[in-house]
Amino acid sequence: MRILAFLVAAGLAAQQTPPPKPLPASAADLEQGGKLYRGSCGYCHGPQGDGGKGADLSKPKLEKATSDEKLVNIIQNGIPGTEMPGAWHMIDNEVRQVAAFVRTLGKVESKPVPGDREKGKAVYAKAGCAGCHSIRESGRPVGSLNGPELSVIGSRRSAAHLRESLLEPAASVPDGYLIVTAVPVTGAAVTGTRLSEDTFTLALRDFGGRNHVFVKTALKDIRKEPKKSAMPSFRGKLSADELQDLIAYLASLKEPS
Amino acid sequence: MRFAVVLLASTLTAQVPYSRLLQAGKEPHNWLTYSGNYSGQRYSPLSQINASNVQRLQVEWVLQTYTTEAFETTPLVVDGVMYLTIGPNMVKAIDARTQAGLWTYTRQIPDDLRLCCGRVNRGVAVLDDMVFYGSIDAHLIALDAKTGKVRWDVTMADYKVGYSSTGAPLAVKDKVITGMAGGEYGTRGFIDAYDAKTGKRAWRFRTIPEPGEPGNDTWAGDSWKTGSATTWVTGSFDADTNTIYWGTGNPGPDWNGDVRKGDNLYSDSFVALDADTGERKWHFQFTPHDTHDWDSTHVPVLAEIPFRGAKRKVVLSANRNAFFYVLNRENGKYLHGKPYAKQTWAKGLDDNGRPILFPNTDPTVEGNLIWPSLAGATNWFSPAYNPVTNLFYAPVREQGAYYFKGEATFKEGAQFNGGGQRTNPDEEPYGAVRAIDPESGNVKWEFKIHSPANAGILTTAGNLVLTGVQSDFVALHAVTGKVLWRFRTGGHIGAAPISYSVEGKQYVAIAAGRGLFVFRLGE
Repeated sequence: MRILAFLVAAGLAAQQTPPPKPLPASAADLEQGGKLYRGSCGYCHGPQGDGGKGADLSKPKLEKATSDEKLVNIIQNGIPGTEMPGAWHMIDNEVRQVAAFVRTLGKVESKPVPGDREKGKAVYAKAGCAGCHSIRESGRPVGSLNGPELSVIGSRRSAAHLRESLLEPAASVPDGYLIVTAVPVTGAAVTGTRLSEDTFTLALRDFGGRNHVFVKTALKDIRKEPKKSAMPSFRGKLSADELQDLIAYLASLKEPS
Repeated sequence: MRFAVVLLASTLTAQVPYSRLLQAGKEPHNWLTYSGNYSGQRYSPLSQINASNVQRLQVEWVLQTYTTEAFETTPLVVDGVMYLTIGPNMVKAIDARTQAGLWTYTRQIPDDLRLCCGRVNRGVAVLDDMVFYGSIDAHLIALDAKTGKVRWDVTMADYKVGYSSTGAPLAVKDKVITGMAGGEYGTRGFIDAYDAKTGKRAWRFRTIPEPGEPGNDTWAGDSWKTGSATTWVTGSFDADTNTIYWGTGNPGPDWNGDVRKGDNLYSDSFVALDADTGERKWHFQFTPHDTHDWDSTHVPVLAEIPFRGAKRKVVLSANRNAFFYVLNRENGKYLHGKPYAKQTWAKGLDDNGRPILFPNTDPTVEGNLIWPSLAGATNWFSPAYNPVTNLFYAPVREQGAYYFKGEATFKEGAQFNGGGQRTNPDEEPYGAVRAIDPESGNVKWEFKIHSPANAGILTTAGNLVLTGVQSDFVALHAVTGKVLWRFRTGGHIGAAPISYSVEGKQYVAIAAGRGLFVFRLGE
């Protein structure tokens, strides 16, 4: 009986859970939230929240932050398995101020990305993107695994960032794709994407997909090129329409909601 | 018969009276205190393993911890018995030659601890027939050295409001000296001395003075009550002057100095205390009114060095704030200082060693890029000083960070940070072992590390510098910095090595990943 009584009480308690606390709304809170945002979030999400390396936040509905509490939780703890870190240095109130500010970014209905995504899919095939990139179909990657996977790139990068990456890939190289040239004491230099490096060893994958491991004592030089990308620029190689269609296609590749 | 004799020898538990601790340098086969002896030099006079044969170093055994905690212990070795701690709650005595287990003490610890940085522990102290252990829930415990049974257990402070203990105590005369941790919880720091026999507290030095005491006026309002200045790394001792030297941590809240205007004494300092009474003899504050979390909880390294034509008794420190300091050991007066790593917060040091600040170096709400990062140009892991090479070896971190200022409202038992940092995304940080000439502060050699240094250093009479480089345990030449030997442990190294010998064979030990690796020369 005691257990049953407890269960009943717990059930009642669950029903009576107060509604979540609303986000702070005063002008001072929003101003402070904006300052905190520009310091800790703007680097990836853009100072105006229209995205960049981080997701576009300037829209009324955020796919992962479907409630204010979810948004607070994402800011606080990050999103595991992505580049989004948690804001360990903010106290609860500051996180809520940032969340409130983020909500102001999406007050205006954002325009859909122009272009024809179906045509864009054809451009993707024609331009040979799958030679380096992959997109999952029914859970399996289609294309090459050498470059970044694009299955949900529309959730991770803004349309403006996608445009920049197509025209000037070196402007923002994703983490884990640093280009390194290893120059052995004897033998030919090898250029590729750095897989790992520590004080004594360097591993890289050349653009033919072959892995190379070097002990650093066998190298006479290591050249790092953070401002270079393995991806060619598509400037002048695609028409303006083709480019816009391709962006529309990539922007449509989203996390399932 | 020989086998039986050997076993008997290694299970005898030796008495370690104070006289042996005092003369630790005369029994280099043992490692009797956290830093090897009272000087804090982490120097071993052993030379069987040396620069000409270190290539033959090989693993003798590995002790696995079977825990998920970071492993930062410095083992002690007394006449063939090794005493080590394993986070979160264990002390072990094992045979230092074979790893055969002698006893294990496991403490029941609460699950509502307040910790910034893991349930770690860095080691024990020994005195007479006892082993002393500071537990993660802020107790000091005396264990019987032969059996591991608890002789006494005292509460140092309340873990529920953020106090803990992670550092190794230091046994001096008839007392056990210990610091505490909890600098991110608005605690109030102290250094305690307990009677080794009874556990009765003999004295407590508060690192933040009360109203009426000198220095309290360096804290605005009531901010002294929650100013932290913790003491989580083991200090040193000079028997000639009966002085204990100890480093203190950051003022709280870490990154928002508005609520604690003033110099915030004795945060980020070395304090020199009378070993019998705990009375302060002098202090030297490295970073007045710190807003970057640059704890000065370094092992104070006591040395006698040539300095401007004379031998001087000094305290040496490579500080988290990126300056290297030489202080007069007798009065704490500043003799010399120089940056040993990139820093962008101070133009230099004035004649008294006080930093001359660049403008606008405080954290801001939007973020302010400053070198070094909050982990500092170095951190708690031990440096080493070799009296033969007269070089000070520092593990160095080269990394900047955007410092943020945030709200700072004190709530008992909750973190009291007032901001934080994001490391600079536009640089590839790196590290080094740097050999510093103490007299000039000049770097004599550097061994560059791919990422910021994270491990302590041992130097030996064998002309060696031993340290961890990410997961590699390396031996460098003490004079040239050249790599002589390395071994990939496969686990992050965040501890400092020791050396000892049993039955005429020298060993080197380092905690790496979740294992204690012990090496000796192969045939």
